[in-house]
Amino acid sequence: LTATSCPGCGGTLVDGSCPACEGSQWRLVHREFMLLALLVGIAAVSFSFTRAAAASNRRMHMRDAAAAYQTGRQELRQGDAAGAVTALRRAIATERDNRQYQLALANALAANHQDDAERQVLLSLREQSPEDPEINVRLARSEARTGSLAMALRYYQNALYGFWPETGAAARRELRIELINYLLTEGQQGRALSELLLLAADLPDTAPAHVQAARLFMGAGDPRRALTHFKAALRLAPGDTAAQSGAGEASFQAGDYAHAVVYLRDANQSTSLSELRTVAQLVIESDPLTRRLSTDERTRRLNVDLKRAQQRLDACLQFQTAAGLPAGELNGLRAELQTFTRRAATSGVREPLELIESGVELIYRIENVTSQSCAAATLLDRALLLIGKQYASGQQ
Amino acid sequence: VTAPRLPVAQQIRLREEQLFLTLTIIIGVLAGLSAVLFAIGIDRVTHLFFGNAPSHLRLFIVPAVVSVITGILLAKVFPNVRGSGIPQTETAFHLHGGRIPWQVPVGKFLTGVLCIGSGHSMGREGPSVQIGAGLASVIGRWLRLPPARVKELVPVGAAAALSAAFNTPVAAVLFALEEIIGDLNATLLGSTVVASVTSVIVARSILGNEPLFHVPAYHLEHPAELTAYAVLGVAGGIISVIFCKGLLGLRVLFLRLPSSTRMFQPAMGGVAIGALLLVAPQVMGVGYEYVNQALNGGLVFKTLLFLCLFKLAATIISYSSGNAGGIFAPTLYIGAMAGGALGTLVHRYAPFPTADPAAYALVGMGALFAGIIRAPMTSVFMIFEITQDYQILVPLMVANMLSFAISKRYQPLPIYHALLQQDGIHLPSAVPHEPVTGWTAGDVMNANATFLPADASIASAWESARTDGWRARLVGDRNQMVGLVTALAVREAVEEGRAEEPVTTLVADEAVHVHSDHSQEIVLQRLAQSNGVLPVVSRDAATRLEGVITMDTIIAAMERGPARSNGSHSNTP
Repeated sequence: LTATSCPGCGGTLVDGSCPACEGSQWRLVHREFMLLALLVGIAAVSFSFTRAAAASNRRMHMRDAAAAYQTGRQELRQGDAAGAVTALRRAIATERDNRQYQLALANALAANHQDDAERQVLLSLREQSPEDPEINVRLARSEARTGSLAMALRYYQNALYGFWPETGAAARRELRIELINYLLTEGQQGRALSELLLLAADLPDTAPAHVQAARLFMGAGDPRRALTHFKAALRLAPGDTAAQSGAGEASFQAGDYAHAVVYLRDANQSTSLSELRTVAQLVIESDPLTRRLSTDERTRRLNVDLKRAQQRLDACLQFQTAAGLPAGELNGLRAELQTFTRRAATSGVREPLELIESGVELIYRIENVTSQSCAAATLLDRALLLIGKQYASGQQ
Repeated sequence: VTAPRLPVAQQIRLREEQLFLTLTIIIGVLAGLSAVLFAIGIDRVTHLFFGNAPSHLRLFIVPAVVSVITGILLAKVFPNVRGSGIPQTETAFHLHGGRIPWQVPVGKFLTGVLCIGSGHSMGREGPSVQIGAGLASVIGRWLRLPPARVKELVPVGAAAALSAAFNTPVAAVLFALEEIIGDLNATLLGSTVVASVTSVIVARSILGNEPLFHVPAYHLEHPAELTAYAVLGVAGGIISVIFCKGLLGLRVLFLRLPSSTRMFQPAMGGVAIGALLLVAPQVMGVGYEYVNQALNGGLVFKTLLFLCLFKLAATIISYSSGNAGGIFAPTLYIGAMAGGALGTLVHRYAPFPTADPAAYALVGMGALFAGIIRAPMTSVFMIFEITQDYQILVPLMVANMLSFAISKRYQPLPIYHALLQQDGIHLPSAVPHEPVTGWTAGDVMNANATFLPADASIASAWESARTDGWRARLVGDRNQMVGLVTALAVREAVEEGRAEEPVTTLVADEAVHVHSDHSQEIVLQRLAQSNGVLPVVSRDAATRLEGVITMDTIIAAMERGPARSNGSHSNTP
């Protein structure tokens, strides 16, 4: 190479620079730019293509999931819970966040007795929407089935105080009734009563609603509030037989035997209600402590009651002796009864009311003990027991 | 005369870094797209072949019939795309300067979609890695990048593809460093991170920000629960060993079959898989929907155990019969099932409060990954990225380390390296950081070696030994070395009356050898174990001889002058 030739490419140097060499380098740069631009173009086209393919794939999976969901529901209807679980799991594998599919799967799992798995599904749904009443209710029912009272109550409460639609008042009320029934089943009368008071505050003014609330109050051991609602139902629907008999029963439980007889007389009489009315009638007719009675009448009633108590005691003693069972308490009561009879015979009418009260109290104890240790009592025995109980609670 | 200034060349040099960065981003995009398309392709093909509720006939027929087609493709058109793709990517990176032919990503995509889509129990991550790395290599060469830069693009493409396939960008970077490069301190960290992040952004913009697995919140309920996780780690290690031994053992059997059967081996596997699918269709393909079920408490103990065993068997059959697909996903599947099963027992019988079985399924995935793939850091970060829960880390590390230790104890060679060794490829598993002192095998070997022909009889070998006085001699030829025989073994065979038998019957299965980049310590150590003749073989093919080392060649090299090491030696077998 001469001094005027380029050491890079052998071309001619012009003012110390080599146009040929620069040209080739520029061509190289241009090629790289072109290739990079081409690659960017390929990437953009590939991106669009992949995106379209992914969207199409997604649609395909959604169709599959919908088909699997339908299959699952059908299998569940046909009683094939295991098959339904499989199909619905297939649906959820694609449409993981589909609430409808998840709830259907929870149903299928419950039907297949997979309580833990059902709870898992519901809990994952609850994570997404902790205030959803339906999910909380399902969880509550699931917990209730497995006997977890605390968790069931927690989820019931979450459901009751969750986000309800404006049209959901009736459903919410139904849910509270479900909770009250659950609490009553679990023997939680106090909690049930609290919920009942909330229910009563939110109750529509219709006869069936009042009757339903009244029955729940009866179940919770509050016949007075039950009677209030039965009366409200009768006010709205005077001929309502359910309300009529319910009011009679509530009056009876509340110790208002006079009204009980009136309500039960007008009610559609089943055997049990008929018995109830008879007992109420007997209470009214046999109570020696009823106000505005003459001394003779009080004495007459006491004698009749004592006679019945004695018969009951004798029969019971006989039964106990024949069965070889201990009868110490019954013998004691018999001795007490004899003493009382002698005392009544000698005291005459000097202190009739005190004597009658003692008699009623003795009759109550006799009836109480015999009802626990001997055969079924007669209606009069039940009436005497109620009279004594009424008196005992009045004393307290 | 003043030399001409070349501003354009300087600009090019200055722009090389920017060019590489730009290319890294483009490769991230393309590798991500390829991984997403690969997953979609598998989905589509599976749907096409099996529909929603496949009949028994379809379950049996499809894998067998499709495997006939893939068998032809794998044998005749794309011979380098069998199996996972990760070992091949490692080979390309370590031995071929990152050169991956364009047929590899194309063939892997096609055969992978067909194999996995037709029900073979294989994963999509390994093939995605090979496709991503292949794309990177092809683009690098297309742009006429320097060879070193092309090589650097391979782990970049691999990380990007894995990141999109698994939706775990950090784990993907770690995997590229830990497994592909074999060095967590690699200088390529920046490029792999850029590509991985780009790729995952692309994948999420297409598929949404949904995690691959939905996992419930995890809590360590009681400190004593860690013992249960330790048991899971031990179980994971044992299962890992069973899996590796089973896969390698069955693959050896397939490799020993006549080469003419190679085209039909995938179909043989297909028939077996079809039979398995009749009993357990849940082991079909990738199977992540069942992993999701296990992670969400959707499977009972018996099902978990059943699927664990069947997936293990199905994966061993699918892989060893030469189909195209990975073991990454099956590893996670088996781990989830094993962990879920153990977790169910722990949850039921442990005397202390325990987490849900799903937590054990999750840790089981990590434990199996650490035991089989042998990438413990990747495993920890992968599970962490899936759960995004710090609390899982301690039990995960306990289980992973135990599984890793047990697996390493009973299966010393990692699965990918063992698979390559079965193909006669020996990879260096670590890159040296210390400057080279002394010579390497390549410096002291003698390129001229004398062979006994492979068809020679023991009698002729004995004659040769007596005439030439050798103590040990290579058998075969330069490109197809069979092994090495000793004069002592030959003489004993003659005395036993086996003179007419071929000399190859005296060749040991595993001959001691070195590679040309091995250090002087390894050479001397192996020479002491040998019979005085140490073959130097290619890392690419253990049957290709590059030279021999004896004490004489070493002394001759010392006498010639100072060591000629070029600084790239390896300390690995």
